[in-house]
Amino acid sequence: MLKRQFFYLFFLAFNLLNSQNNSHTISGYIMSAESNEIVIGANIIIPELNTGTITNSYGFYSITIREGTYKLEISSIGFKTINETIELQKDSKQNFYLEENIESLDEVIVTQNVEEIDIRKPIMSLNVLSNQTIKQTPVLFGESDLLKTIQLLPGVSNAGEGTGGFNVRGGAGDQNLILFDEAIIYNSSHLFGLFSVFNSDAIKELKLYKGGIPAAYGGRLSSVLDVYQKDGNSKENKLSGGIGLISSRLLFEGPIQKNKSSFLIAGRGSYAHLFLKLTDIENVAYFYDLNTKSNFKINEKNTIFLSGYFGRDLFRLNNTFSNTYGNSTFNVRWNHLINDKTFSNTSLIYSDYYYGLTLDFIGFNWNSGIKNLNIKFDLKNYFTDKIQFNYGLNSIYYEFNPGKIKPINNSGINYKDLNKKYALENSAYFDVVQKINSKISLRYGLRFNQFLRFKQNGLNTYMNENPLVFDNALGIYKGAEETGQFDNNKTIIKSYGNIEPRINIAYNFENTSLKFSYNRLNQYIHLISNTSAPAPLDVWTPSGPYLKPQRLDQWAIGLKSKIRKQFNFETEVFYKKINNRLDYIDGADLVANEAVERILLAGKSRAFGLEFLLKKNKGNHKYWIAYTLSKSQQKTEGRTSLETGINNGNWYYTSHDKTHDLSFVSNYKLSKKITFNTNFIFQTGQPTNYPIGQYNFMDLNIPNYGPRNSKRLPNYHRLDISVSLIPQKNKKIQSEWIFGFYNIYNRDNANSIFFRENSETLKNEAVQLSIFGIVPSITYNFKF
Amino acid sequence: MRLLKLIILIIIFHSCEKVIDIETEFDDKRLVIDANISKHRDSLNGIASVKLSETIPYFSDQESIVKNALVKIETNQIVYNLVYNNDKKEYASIIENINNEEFVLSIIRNENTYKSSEKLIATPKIKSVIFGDRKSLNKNEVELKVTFTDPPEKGNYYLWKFGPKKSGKYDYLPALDKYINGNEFTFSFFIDKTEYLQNSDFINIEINGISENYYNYLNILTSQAGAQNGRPFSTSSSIIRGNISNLVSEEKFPLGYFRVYEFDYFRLSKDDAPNGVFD
Repeated sequence: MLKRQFFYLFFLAFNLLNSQNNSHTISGYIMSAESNEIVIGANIIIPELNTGTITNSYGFYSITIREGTYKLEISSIGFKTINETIELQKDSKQNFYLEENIESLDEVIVTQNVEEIDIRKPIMSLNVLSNQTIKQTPVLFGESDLLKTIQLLPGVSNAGEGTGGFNVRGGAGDQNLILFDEAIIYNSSHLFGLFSVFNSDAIKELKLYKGGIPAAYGGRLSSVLDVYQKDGNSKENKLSGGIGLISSRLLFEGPIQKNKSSFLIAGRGSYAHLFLKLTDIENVAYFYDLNTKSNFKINEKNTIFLSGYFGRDLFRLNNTFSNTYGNSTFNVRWNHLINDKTFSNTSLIYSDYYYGLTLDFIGFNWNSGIKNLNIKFDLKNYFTDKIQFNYGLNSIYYEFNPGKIKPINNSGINYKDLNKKYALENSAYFDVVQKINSKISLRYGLRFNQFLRFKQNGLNTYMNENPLVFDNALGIYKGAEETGQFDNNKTIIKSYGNIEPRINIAYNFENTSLKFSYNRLNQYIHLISNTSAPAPLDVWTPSGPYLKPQRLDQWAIGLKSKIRKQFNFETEVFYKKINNRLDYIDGADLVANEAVERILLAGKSRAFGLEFLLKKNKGNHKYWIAYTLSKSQQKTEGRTSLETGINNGNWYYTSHDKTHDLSFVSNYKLSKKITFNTNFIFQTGQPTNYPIGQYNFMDLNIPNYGPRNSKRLPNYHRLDISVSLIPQKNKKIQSEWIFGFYNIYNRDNANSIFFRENSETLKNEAVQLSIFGIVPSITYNFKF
Repeated sequence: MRLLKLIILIIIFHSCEKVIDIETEFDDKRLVIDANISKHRDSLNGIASVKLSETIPYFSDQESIVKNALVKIETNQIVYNLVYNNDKKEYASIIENINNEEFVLSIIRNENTYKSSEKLIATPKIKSVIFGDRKSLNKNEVELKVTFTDPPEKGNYYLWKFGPKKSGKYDYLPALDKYINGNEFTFSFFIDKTEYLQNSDFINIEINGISENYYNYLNILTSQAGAQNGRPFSTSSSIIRGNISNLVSEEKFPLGYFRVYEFDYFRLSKDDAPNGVFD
């Protein structure tokens, strides 16, 4: 029934298209004057009508207004604002070119409406960062890093230095939808979390949705990290790059056909023997990645984009082991203007994650991974200046490889191919952005999901369909014996269907907007990992007969305000609850486990918090202060009153819970040549466990642990500083030196505290492990 | 696998460890039972040994041995009352003619009765152990190559013991036949040459047949006892329950394990090592 309504609405919008009189549509693209690079999120304001619009992620805008002559104000951060006068007598197409604002000192341009349109939008919990911000933030070893930068925003944390992934509003690491030019990225880290897989040279912009997620996105519960690659310069050839302590980068871009098509190739590689000088054994550890993009403007109505990514991490220790892993993605997108008001995009996307390991000293090869093929169709209809409709369809086909073991050197290991798993995730959405009056704007939509788990070999059946039994006498969980195998006559062995409402409301007064949002999301694929943060070896697995989809409901209320024209202030309160969050029975063996249902229990998690963000975006001194007060917990109760559940069925803190999280990020432009960048971070120590006793068993000294995560590490804080110098301007080459210090006052931050018996004294001791003290860095960047 | 990740992490990070002062709580005085019936695979009789103790605060040195218990092991036919041995600080008895029967352990102490029952788990022979020449990241480590043949049926689990070390303690390695079922298999184990052949003139390599349940138990135990706990990629630590229950008070469940196992061993001496390794 609902589906029928959805299609009805879809057609209704088209029929209404021509029904407005005396109104005309102005539409087009906004691009960088220097490179023809499209500008995402640029503002097109018509001050006289107190209205405006924003370019979409392909740089397209469309607005329908009454006949007349108007002054347009077009602006975007990092570009000079331009004013154009247009005479609107009929529907017209108009592209605008913005000049970049890097060279000159920022003037404080006081435009009445530019920021207000942003403030008034019925969307919240969204952070947008430009390539420039990412590159200016001081980071470890001077390697500018997208994932490290977003962790400076309110509501974003991770499970400590040297762990992969990130956590949004208390959510788990596998609950982030990470999109790179629309392709799903399954592992966002290089070198176990030290660096992200995103080469910041090739990135244009990122959007991070922490809540109020629009209906166009789905499949992960906690956040959407939408990363856009640069398109490439279609005016002239440009070469840029950098040399750092850990890696070097090179980017080449240019026109294929001037002003019509362009390409971009970017590569990054770390130095091979960098880390392993500590030992004299022959070894290698490095990573590299390659980004490519090209676009072809066929005509005013059609543009084709091709983009790809390939990245790998490699470790090798002479004849003992070697390890390779990484993501690869490829996609084709076709932008098509159906008419002046209707923009469509069709994408075909492939992405995969591969993990391979060779252990010579045991004698086997291991590989695992996930592949998917994703077809998407999205349509945006800029109906009037008051209402915009978005519709879309999406279908993702997954192939999961839980693991394959091959013996080497006649080692006595058996060949074993764990059965592959297959699934299809279909969704359809509609999303309406509507301005009710000058005070109230709404964004509302529904997303329909269907998840189909296909037949496979080797899927067990169990007595009473219960794969995990509880031993009452001993108080422990045990995997049940299988009773047989699933019947392979049916193609689909399990299906799930869900409807997800998404609502955003903005109530505007003066320079302030009061916002509310609610969203529901379902997640059908799970990262099987019982470590505190995602690790490269972790395997994705689909929902099915035993594993149910995770479901989230999130509510948020917030205030967004402009203070004295220079500051943006945002505060939000959120509450989220998640059902069917997987937890693992103690001692669960996850590697090459053919029947993970025998070690999993479904639990709940919840998070709530208060976030503040004060941002100064203009002038020579730009900065932001972010503060989050929050709580993130998990609980897995027994299924019956006899069962203990996990941690006795009590709530416990997740390993990324940080009560207080404060960050200060500053960028001070002293002159055209010198810029100072500073970060300061303060966080409550992460939850951990201390022993509550000890005993001797088999001559081993065993610490006895109490409830999960009931203690905390000491508080974490550090200050990072960097200065960038632009030497005397050379006409051909622009260059820049960046000198930095990570953790400048050399704070011994505890990464973990562990307990052991000293091998000499045989006495127990507590040991604090710190990873990074003060780390100096130097980077050289160039462009010509 | 966890170990592998750890190794890599240690190489990458110029990490710094320091011993710190921490106060730990202690509110959980529990009985700990380390109960074993063991027999060599070529012999008929075995020995039962039951070590009883209580948990103590984490930074305490005071051993808390329990001597006031009544310990017995029963089969369908015979009841063995175990006698406390003051030197070994354990209850012990010879068990005759061990075959595939059920052994029931019962311990009575302070009005609590603890019970568990297990059957004998067999083990294959160790075919050979030789020194190898592979290197690990730790310069002090020496490769041992251990060969044995896994029996044809699936689901065998083993505990490997290597030792003694300087302190008289052993290194343990729980293992399973998931990847090697039915094959002759050689694996490497790296020993620390500053620890082995120091206060002893031989290296003893022992294999025990164990149950799946005990394998899981040991995996948690050895990972929590090792220095991995609390490090990046470590799993959550928790109280570890074995296979012994308290019939009187469920709340006061004991720690530890009761097992009945067969073992085989292999000995290496300094003479078996390549020249210059243990100088």
